[in-house]
Amino acid sequence: MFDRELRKGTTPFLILALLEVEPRHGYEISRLIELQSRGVLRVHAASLYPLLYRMEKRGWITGRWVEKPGERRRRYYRLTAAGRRALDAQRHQWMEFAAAVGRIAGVAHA
Amino acid sequence: MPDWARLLGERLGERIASDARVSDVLEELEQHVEDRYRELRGQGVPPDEARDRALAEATSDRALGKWLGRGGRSKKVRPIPPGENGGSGTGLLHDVRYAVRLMRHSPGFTAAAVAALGLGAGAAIGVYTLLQAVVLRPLPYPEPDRLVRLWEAKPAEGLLHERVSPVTFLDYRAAPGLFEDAAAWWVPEVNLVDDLGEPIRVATVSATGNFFDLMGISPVLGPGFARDSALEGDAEAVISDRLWRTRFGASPDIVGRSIRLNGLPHEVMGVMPPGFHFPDETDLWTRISWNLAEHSREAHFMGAVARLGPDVTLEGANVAVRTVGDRVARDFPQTNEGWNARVVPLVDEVVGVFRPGLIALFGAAGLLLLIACMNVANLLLARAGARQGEFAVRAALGASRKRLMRQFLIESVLLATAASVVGFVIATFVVRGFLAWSPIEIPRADGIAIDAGVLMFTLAVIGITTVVFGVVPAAQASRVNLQSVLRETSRGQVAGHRGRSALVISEIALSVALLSGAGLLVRSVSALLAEDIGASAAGELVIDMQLPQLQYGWHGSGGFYGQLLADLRDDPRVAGVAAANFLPLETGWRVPFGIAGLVPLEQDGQEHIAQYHSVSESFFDAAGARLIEGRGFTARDDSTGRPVVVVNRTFVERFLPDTDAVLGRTLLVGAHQIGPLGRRLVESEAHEIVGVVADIRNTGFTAPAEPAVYTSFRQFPFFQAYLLVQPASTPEAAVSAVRDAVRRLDPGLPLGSVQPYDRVLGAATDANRVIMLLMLVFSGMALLLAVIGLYGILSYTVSMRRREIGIRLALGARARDVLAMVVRYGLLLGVLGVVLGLMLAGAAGRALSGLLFDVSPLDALTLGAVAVLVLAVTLAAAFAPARRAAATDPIRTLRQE
Repeated sequence: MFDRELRKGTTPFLILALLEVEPRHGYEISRLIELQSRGVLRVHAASLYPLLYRMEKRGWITGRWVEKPGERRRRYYRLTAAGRRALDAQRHQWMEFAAAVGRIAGVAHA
Repeated sequence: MPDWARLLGERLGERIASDARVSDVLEELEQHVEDRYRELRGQGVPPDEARDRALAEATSDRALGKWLGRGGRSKKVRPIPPGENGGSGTGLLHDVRYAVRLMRHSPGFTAAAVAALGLGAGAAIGVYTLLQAVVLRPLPYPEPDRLVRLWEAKPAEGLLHERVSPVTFLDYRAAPGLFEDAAAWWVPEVNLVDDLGEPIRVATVSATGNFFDLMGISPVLGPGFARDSALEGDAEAVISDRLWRTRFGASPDIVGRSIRLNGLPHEVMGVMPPGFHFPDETDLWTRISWNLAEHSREAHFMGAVARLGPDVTLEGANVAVRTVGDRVARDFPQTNEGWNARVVPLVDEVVGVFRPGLIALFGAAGLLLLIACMNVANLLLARAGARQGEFAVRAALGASRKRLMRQFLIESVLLATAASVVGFVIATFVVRGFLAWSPIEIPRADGIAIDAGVLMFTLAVIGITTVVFGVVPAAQASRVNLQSVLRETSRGQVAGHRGRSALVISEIALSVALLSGAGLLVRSVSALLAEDIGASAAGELVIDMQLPQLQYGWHGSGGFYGQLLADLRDDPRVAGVAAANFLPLETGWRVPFGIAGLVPLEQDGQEHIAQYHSVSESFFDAAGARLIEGRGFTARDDSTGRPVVVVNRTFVERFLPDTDAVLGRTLLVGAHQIGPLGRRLVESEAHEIVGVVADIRNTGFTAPAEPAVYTSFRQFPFFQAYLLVQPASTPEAAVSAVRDAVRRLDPGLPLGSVQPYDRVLGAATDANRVIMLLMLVFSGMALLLAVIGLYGILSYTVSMRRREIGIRLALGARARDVLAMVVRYGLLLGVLGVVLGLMLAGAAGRALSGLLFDVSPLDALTLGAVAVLVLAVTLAAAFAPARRAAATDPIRTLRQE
């Protein structure tokens, strides 16, 4: 398992990536992280919602309550322009970091 | 369905703030727990367990509760990314420690960089040490910039450094507003004989009374020369501190004492401060006691120094001096036609060829240092490539670009400092060794020392080299951004590679420029050495002698030298001996002459002038001169014999061009007596020309000979003479033979200096030879560094392109093609460097012109040879990496991918 520090740093990155596709609500985000990482990564609700709150405050995402007939209302988040830039930057940084670490540690990167 | 809001409230405690956004979060959380519950139930988890698990996940983080309690405000704590200055001053120290560790971990790289830079720095510091002491240091006199030497000149004959006539000197001194004052001196040969010790020769000048005032240096003891301008009076002498200590035991009551110089009593008027020996290495100054005006305008035998008036520039002074010279030439055409004068800053005069020489060497050392810097920059760039990973990680971990650059610069500063320390040590030893080894007299060498100036210069070297070799790689390395690391063989490295190629091209260009300079000096020196000066050495010694005139008189002088030569010829320790009042390259007395039936002694106030030299029998043999016609002198050509002379070839060409029979002609020797020094013993003016000798240079090493008349030393003796002694066995034995013979004739007579004859002849080219040697060493080192740089970049290229080469080979390229490809690349760099270097050499050649003799700064042969040499070396350097490339195994290379 990944250590806590690393996970903490990467979760916003993952959230941005998931929101790039389409607006999603919190539960969907946590499910997708777990599913798409094949269970390696997990975000608990306890940290997810404060995180979303912080990301919204930074202007990376905006949330909106959406009512659907016959359901409780849900808060959907979508990416802002700033969020998209942050995602690009983090994506670069991450790839470079991974490559660099890989070169040093002798890990072949995908 | 449980009441999620209540359950969450229970678990998160009382501290839930009633903020709108926080209640949003709570609602989302509630929703989330509900979704989770449904999911778990869908998986068949019992309701109670599903409820507890969903709630536990949503509240597992205790921080959540706190966060909600704070109303969503997060604590403002930003972690310090590693590699970023935490704000304290320890970052710098940390960086330095890191850099030291890094240097220790790659000793090969560190040693190579420090060695290359150290050599360059050592050369620069060493030359600067000399430059500072010899050229840049002001002369130790008040307002030294205003002191000039005054020379007479006859530009038409290439004479620019002629001593001045006492009469004409007075004209120049009197020019209004030009000089504050001017002093003149001449150099008698003086023996100091007293009962304090062995008789000694003392380096003496006889100067005008204002000499010390003009120089601005007063005696530390005694009043100096009497200030009244009376020319007649008691003979006065001032002595140097050195002579005072060695001869007179630093006796405090020396002033007022009488000493005998050449047998004449002189009153000691003062002791000069330590270190004052101007001009040259003078230890004794006597006051001229004859009237300068009562002499000849043709007798150019006095040194002169002047202090420019306030606000008089050097150019202005030269214009004014020429005006006076032109007027004198108009007024006294028979003696001064074509003559003029010029002033030269005293410091230039003292330093001579060392000024252009040391400046050129300093330039060369600077270029060498620059090349070394480029080499190290090259190494650093290569290493920056290898360290991209390290920098990328540090950047990714949050190190700022500024911080990375600082780290890199600190490493550069450390390297430069280490190299400068190494260079400093090298310079110290090399300068010391050079001074000990150098066959030449380096003026002002006593001041050569590692002092504050040199240390400042070393610091400057550290700063400059750091900037030159460190900044570009630092910028490059800190730019490492992270993209190029990812795309491994993409633009980032191509750019670095291009930078390195440019560095190598510049290195080659600079070494071509240096080699060209060295080549030109080699050509100059070989031209100098090939000069036929009409004299050559074969192991002879030169000993100079001075007879006290009172005791001997003219006839006694002739008799003394005649007897000495005869005695020495019988001595088995001596294989041959001759005497003369001037050595080859020295300028004789310029005295009028006539030729019976052709050239009257005087015609319409016009005189014909030739140099007079008095030489003994077998002098021409001993001096290595060639007799063309007739005979030299014999021992029978004495005061009782028929008066005879030998003339030089220029004399014949100038004055007897159409005459078949030169021998037997009668030369009219106008001079009866030459100053207090020499006198014709034969009564008749008429001398038979009995021989013609090939020209012996008599105005300097490179100037053509002036017409010269050689008289027999026995017929026209001088008190002062040089003995040319050929030792039969050892020089020491020959010298003791001379000492014994002299002692037998006169126990009170000291020997003057003894020096090898080849040093006398070679002295004129010594400085050029030494400068040439140093230049060769510097340019050789430069070429070596450039070649190492080239080799490095080619090796690097080959290793970077290994895959491409592998593919080429796999696709059917022959090893030969690969070899050619790499060699071609090396040659391309070489050719670009050579072309650039030749242009540089063309521009820089002019800086050397003061040192060149008989060779143009654009000498095609030299530049061509340098180009060929550098290209050949380039080719050789390219070959090893090319062979390695050609030997690439395609299968293995491709498999590594």
